[in-house]
Amino acid sequence: MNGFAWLLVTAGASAANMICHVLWFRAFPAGGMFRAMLAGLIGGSIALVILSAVFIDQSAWWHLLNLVIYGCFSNAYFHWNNMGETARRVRLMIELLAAPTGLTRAELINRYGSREIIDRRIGRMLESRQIREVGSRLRLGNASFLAMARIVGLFKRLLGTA
Amino acid sequence: MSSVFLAAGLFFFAFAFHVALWRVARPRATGQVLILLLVACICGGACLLAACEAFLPELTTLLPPRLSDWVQAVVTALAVACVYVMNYPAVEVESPTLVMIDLVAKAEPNGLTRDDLYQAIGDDFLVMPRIVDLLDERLAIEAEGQCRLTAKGIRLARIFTGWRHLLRAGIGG
Repeated sequence: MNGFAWLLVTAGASAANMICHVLWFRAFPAGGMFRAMLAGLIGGSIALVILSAVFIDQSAWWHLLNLVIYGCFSNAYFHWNNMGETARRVRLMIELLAAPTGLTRAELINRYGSREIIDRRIGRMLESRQIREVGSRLRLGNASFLAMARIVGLFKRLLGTA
Repeated sequence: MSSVFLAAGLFFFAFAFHVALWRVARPRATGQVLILLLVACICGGACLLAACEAFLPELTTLLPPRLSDWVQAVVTALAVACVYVMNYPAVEVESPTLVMIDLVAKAEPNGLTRDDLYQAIGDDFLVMPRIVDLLDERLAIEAEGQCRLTAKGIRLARIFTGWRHLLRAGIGG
């Protein structure tokens, strides 16, 4: 059974991540979702270090795989929360859930249109300093999202979806 | 070390299969097919290797010795696949944030106004394709001009609303 100790380490760290994230967000909702996710990531990482120390006799490769699994969980968990926070499809589904008799396409757009989508994203990008507002003009700030856009462009070309 | 190589090998096998399939014939419900394809390739690849090991004893030195190491490698490959699936929508559809960043970058050094963005990307680009996605993935149906969630869509929407209720978070978007 000791062979499956990695499951305990990765599941424990992942659970700690989720618990820290949920508790932080409930305690400090004004701090925003992303700060709470960072708190979760740090909490889970501390749990990973502590649990890994219990199995210090295992090989470095064993620990590396646990780190990869935990890193992947953290990334997927981030995207899961990000989907609830920003995904258009999820928001449209929530609007439809609130309207059991259904909505026309025009009604859907009225409830969640391009202006709201753009304004919400400008707000988030200003907050994370991806862009800055100079007078009435939006200028590029931190270039990390631009790098991400370029990487996504490469994948689009690889898959032929561009 | 063999577990690390097995995990990497299984993921790249699945990824190569996915790239090949997408280039030849991209499926309509891409999200669901991608999940099934990656899981099937990783689990199927592991089973195939385990079967080959019985016939080719030379493989024994290259593959993990214990069942727990095999499971750890498969879970690692599935975890990486999960990350890919979660990031995939940005590749499949235009992410509004990335499109906006691209437009702002192209407008440097003067930048652009909010009105420029409203005019550049409207409902036809930002909302309509997502409504069509919901219909394609059978999360919603459209009858007599009215869009309604299917049972699958209702289940998925409830998962998100339940999770956001647990967080005490407001409506996203």
